[in-house]
Amino acid sequence: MLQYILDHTVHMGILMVLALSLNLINGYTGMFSLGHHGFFAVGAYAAGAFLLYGFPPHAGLGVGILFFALSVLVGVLAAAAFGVVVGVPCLRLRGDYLAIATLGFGEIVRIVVQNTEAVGGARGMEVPYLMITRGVDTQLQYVLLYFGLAAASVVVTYVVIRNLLRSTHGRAMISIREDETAAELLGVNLVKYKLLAFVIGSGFAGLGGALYVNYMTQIEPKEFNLIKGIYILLYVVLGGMGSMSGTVIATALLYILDKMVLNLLPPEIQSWREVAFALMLVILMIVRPQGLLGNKEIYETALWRKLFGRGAKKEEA
Amino acid sequence: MSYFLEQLLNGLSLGCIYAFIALGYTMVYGIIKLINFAHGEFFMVGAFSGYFVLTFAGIEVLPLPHPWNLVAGFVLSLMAAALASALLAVVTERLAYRPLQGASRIAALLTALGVSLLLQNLGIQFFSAEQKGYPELREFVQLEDATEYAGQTFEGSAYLLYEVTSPVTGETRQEQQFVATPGKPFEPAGLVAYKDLTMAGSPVTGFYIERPISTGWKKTLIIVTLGLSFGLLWLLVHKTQLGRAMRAVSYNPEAAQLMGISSGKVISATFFVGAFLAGIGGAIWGMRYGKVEPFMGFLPGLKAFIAAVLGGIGSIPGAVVGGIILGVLEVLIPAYLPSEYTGYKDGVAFIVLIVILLVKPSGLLGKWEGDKV
Amino acid sequence: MSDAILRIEHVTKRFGGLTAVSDFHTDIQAGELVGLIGPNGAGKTTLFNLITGVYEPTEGRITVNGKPIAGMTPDRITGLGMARTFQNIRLFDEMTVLENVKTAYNLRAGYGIVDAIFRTRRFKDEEKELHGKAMHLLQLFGLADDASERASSLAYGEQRRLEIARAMATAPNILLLDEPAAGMNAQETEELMEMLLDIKARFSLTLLLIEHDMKFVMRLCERIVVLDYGKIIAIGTPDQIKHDPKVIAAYLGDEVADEPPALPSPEHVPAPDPAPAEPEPADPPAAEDAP
Repeated sequence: MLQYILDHTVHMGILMVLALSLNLINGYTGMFSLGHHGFFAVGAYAAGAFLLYGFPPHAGLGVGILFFALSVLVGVLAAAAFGVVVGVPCLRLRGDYLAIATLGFGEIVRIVVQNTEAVGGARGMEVPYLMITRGVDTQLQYVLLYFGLAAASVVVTYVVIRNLLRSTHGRAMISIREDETAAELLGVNLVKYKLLAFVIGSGFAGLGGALYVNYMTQIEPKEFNLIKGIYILLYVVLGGMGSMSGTVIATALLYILDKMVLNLLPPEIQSWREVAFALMLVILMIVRPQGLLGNKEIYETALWRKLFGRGAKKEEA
Repeated sequence: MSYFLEQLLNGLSLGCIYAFIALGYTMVYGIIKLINFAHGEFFMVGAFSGYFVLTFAGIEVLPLPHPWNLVAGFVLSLMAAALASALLAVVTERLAYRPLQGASRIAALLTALGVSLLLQNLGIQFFSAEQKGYPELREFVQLEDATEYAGQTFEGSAYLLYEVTSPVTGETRQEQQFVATPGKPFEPAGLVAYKDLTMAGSPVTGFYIERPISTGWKKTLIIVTLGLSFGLLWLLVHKTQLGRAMRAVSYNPEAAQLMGISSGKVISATFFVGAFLAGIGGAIWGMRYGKVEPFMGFLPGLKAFIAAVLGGIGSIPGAVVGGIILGVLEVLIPAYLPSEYTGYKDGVAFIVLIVILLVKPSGLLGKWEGDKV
Repeated sequence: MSDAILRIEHVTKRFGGLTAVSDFHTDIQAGELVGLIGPNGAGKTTLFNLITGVYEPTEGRITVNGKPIAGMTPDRITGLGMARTFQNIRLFDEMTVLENVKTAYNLRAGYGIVDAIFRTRRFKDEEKELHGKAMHLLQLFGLADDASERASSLAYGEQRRLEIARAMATAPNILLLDEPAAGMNAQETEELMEMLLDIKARFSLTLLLIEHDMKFVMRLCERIVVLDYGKIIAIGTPDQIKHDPKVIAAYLGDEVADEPPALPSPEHVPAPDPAPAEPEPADPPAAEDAP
């Protein structure tokens, strides 16, 4: 039972990393990127390929840990590099065009990995377990370990992005969202900051991907499709596009709702799950497009102050 | 026919379908600046409507002389597809897009995405996720001389028609006797021309082959349908009051309103017309590729949007040009690459997208619109 | 070379078949207070866009603080020491007043991304200094009390002041103001005039402003450039402009009296809406979100 919960929290944590990194691009810098699943895929496949072709088969725990760390590095760097590849052409694009272009890139990634036999093609890729039988012996220990890693990843992602946002660089990115032309005329270098958003956003998505492939040890292209990308976007939008804590909360809520609550329902109703989620997205946009928290953090809301008696009115960026 | 020409024709017919769908995208974008992601689902609903009409309405057995029963079947399936699709579009616009009129672009886009997913999954609920075979238009060809076809295999069935007189009531009725099965060689009894055959004591009145219409015919139908539709659309946009109203609202909604044009009605009309065309595209896709399933609208819809961007989003001729070019490229490029690369065929559209956005984002026939300060 | 701090040499801007600005040629010296006036559609905002790098001139050359700006992106031009405000207020609505101003310090901020992420000493020191400078600026503009308010919640007059304060944060020596008095009543206009003179003296600024409020322009500016249909039709002191028949004709049509009539007061001048929704028609029709 504990294992079941921990397994879910690992998945949830990875989704949070993805959603937080997407929020940086979409919510804070105001660029409408629909291709985040592509960065996730690049991170996962790069890390996976590194392990598949680089990991010596009979190595011990120490080497296992080293390779884990290296694979994460590979995933992050590969995804960040792809972030530049996507970001540069998209610099001049706005709104709908940007959305479609990023969607296109996301689809290109999927098509490429689906057709590349070296990473398993449509059947998917299997990478060696790094930890099992090399010091981490039981299922429970494995999941516990990854729980820790996932939690750490979420914290790192959150803190790094938040620190970045609460600085002149963050203000620059937010100003791009608010009014790009005015920002540029006030000295904000659009190219630098748009690319920065893409690189950091994609880099963290790569972290999520590397973690994912290490945990699951088996991945296939259809786990990185547009539907996944839209789910991640839904988490961001539901939480509120300018709110990090909102993203975390919304991801948790929706994930629990999706995987745990809905699973309790009889199968005939379950098949309506996607319909329900799609409907939720539509209604949300009509009724409350700012999501749960809009652009406030949870400790800036009146509710928090009432519950805890303290909190900021609006934190300074 | 040379390989190149054959592939070119394939590409053109695919391109025509993309053009049909792209027209709807471009018209809606031109008027409310929204990428209606759900447009691919209007296409899908059109295809399913055509499917249902052809499967359950049994057009081909209408007592019309050949080939008019075929044409009737074709046209009816198109109309059903177009109307179902168009009605769905108008309803969607009212329910999901109208409330978001002043909202941010991201909100509108996300709603469109949501509607798209919603329709796809509703499709799965109601139609099941499996593919269904789209009924082929079949022709009945009366042949003069059965002996010519000895030893051949037919795609369809071949049968003899003969009259039988009931000894009891004195009525005569037509009966058919299958004499060949699809795929198996035809052995006309006694190798005689049918006129001399008798069945159950009665003279044979006709020898028919029933087969699906040839692919050449199909492609021609597609191109002709597109041509006619495009012509009608052009007339609508340029020669009718509605068309003028549509153009006015797309250039300047406020001014149009001041001139008494109800933008709400015009927007609904645009959705109607756009989806009408997409529905026709759906029926044609079913005819061309033979299968329909609830997810079928997603990728073609996306590619059709790319085609619209390629031609210049907001430009009606652009949608046609873009659609055709994309279709041709999507068929020709993989046709000349080594076979390991055929899986990349879907990638062609996306590469085209990236290239055009880099080189000329306003599209081949579009105009550049800068940013106001 | 002259001391001109801003040189606009034979600048022409064409959009397809439409000529928005035609052979604009002027030098602006350090410390001047110049007004740019003209009927709606004369090309004034287009000229600002040309000077700030939003548009590239079709012909001609612009030099800011001695550097030619051809090919530079607007942020670099701002870095040369020139800032502007906008005809329609373009504040960062969701940010606070203080954040709006702080953002404008970005190009002079002294720390990198790594510093921000790891919250180094350098980050803390720079941010503290930045905060101080921003608050000081807000105090000067009478906005210090509203520092933590959302920019969109300010009154109209305060928003206009914030726009100017924000522009000042880029430490310019040239300030371009696009209709700063738009929508203001007589008293607010008075206060604005005083404030502009104050900051001009305090920061050693050169001011170039577009305005439709004639009284304001005539009283404030030392030199006035008059545009009509993209061409300069007169340059001179307020007195000279007041009586220039070409100017009068441009504003009133083809009436030319024997005696130069009194200066057209704002009631007679076709006045635009205080916060015009559309920019001047001379600008090409454009959709805001198209790339």
